[in-house]
This record gives sequence, C-alpha cells and structure tokens, in this order.
Amino acid sequence: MNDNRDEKKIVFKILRYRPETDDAPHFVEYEIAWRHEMSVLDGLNAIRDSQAPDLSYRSSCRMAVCGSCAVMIDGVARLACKTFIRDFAKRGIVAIEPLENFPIERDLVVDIEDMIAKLESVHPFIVLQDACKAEHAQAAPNAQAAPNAQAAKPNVQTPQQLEKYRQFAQCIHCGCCYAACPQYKLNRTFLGPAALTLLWRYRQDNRDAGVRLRSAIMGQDSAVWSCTSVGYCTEVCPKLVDPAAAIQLSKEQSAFDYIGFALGRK
Amino acid sequence: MNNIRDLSQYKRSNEPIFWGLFGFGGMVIAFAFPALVGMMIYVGLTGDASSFQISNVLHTWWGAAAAFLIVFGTSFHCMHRIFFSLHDLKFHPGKAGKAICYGIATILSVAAACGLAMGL
Repeated sequence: MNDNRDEKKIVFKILRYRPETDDAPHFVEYEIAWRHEMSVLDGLNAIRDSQAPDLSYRSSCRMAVCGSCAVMIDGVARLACKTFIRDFAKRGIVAIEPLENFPIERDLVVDIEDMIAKLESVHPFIVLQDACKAEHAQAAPNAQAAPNAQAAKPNVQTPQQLEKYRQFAQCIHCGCCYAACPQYKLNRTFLGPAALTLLWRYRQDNRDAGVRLRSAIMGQDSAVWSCTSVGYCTEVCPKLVDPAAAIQLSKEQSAFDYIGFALGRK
Repeated sequence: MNNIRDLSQYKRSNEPIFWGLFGFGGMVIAFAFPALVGMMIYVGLTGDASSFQISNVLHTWWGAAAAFLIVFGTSFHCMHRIFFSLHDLKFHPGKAGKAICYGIATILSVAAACGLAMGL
C-alpha cells in the first residue's frame, strides 16, 4: 500500500569509517522516509537496503534484549531498536555515531573487547562451595576438602533472596554505561559500571560461595573506588539496571570489608 | 581467566578510610549546616549573637566536641570532594595532591582541636 499521508522525511547524519579507504571517521548524511512506528534501527536498515549497502552496524533481536545495537544517538548512548525516529522528527536530523569510549572498528561497529574482558574478570558465575573448600585446603593443608558435598544438595533460593539481586541481573551488556562513564574515559583500568554491577549481582546471590573472592575484586583501586558517583550510567541504561546504585551499595559493603581486612580477617 | 583461588593478585585499596570520612562529613554537613546557616542569618539580620550563647557552649566539653566534629568532618568532606573534582576536571594531582588535600584537612582539624582545647 502506498500511503503518502504518513510518510515524512528525516536526515540520518552517520559517522562513517571504512579503514581501507578513509583516513579518519567523517559524517555522511542520508535522507530517508519514515513512519510513526519506525525505530532508529529500522532507519539504519532502510539506509543499508537502499542507499549504503556497505554500512556496518550491529543488530540482532530488534527488541532490546540482545544489546547489540547500542550507538550514540544525538550524543546519548542508546539502543537503536528502542529509540524511535519520531522523537527526533521536529529537528528533521539525527546524528548517529559509534559508542563513545570504544575504538571504532568500522562505521558504527566498535571493539568492545575491553568491556568483555572486564565482565569476565569478575568471575560472573556461581562459585560453588567445593571450590572454596579447596581454597581453604590450600591455605591450611591439614583441613580436609569434602569432594562433591555441594553436588548432592540442590541450590535453594527463595523469592526474597532472588529479589536482592534480580534488578542487577537484567544487564544485557550493551555497553551504553561504558560509553556514558566519564571515569572510564579518563582511566581505562577502571572495571566500569556493567562489570561492577555483575560483581554485586553475584555477591548478593545466596547460592554463591565466593564471598572472599568477590570482596577482594571489589576492594581494588580499579574497582568500586575509581567511581566518583556521577550516575550517568544509570541515566542511559536501557534496561533500568541502575549500575550507580549497585556501585554505591558495593562501596558500602567494601568499606565494611575493609574494616575486617584491617582487623586481620581476610 | 585468573586463578579463582589466588586472592593475592587483588590489592585492597585504602580508599575506604577517606570515603568513610567523606561520608561522615557529608552527614555532619547535612545535620549541622541548616542550623548553623539559620543562626548566621538570624545574627546577620538582628546583629545580636548573644541569644545563642555560642561562646558559653564552646567552653563546655560537649560543645567543644561537637564543634570539633563539625570542623573535622566538613574539612575532610570538602577536601575529598575537591581532590576528586580535580580528577574530573582532568587535573590528576596523584599522590602528592592527595597528601596536600588531606593534609589541609588534617591541619584544619588539629588547629580546631587546639583552639577548642585552650578554651576549656
């Protein structure tokens, strides 16, 4: 159906970079027709289909679940699939740039390797009692490790215990918070909002036995103590995870951990 | 991935001390400053400080202790804020800057303690 009543035009100003031909990233403008229900991702698809077949960007689920399509839209880190073109209709132009604070690989695709490594570095899995027993056995060789004691019992969790960390488990690792974080911009050793939120999520999980490990990671200079509580991570988070709250709670916990550490308990 | 059992690879930061003082100072400011500002406005408008009998209060041990905690908390809170604001403004004063900032807070606190102690 050719319904021209609903068809309006908008300009996408896209920061493009093709390493084999371009010396530096530069803006290219594309005009597209849009309808009320179109997302920015739909707009990018339209440009790739009709005007720039070599335009590179990441996307997958189209419904704010996979976290692939995070880009800077008018200077703010957002998911392209969750942002509507109609919100920029008045100005008639919208700037699309790759996520800030990450090196550009090609067009809107950035290298998120550093964030992935940091997410992995907080041991984002439930540490079983067995692993800790082995750890104590290593510290005190006389103590007997009980092999597979945990394996026999199920890991029970009440709804109240789940509620303690459920919000912080909603992260989809889109990288918006790293793009927003002024501390990550200044200091690349900083673990960053998503990794610290993930760390807090496991620390709050009653099934997790790695409390000492989590406490040690959390108490480093490059972990919670590099955050200066700007809070922009929480503002841009498309899943309402609130990383700033997770970090603030972690700081409080880590301060108590420090007292234990100062008193000689590790 | 790092060995899960080797905790010695993680170095614990001393920042909780300064963060704790910062938090304490913030609470002192939140509690004491509205009252102090209210008193100052009253004195400024009436020119009459006698109704508060501040000098009498400062000569008591509890008045002196409260005044010391206000100066101590406030100076550590403010110097911590200044230190981290410098970092946000892309001046990175490093360890020397940290020593100067917390040094100033310590000097102010010691001076307040000496002054108040002499008045007792």
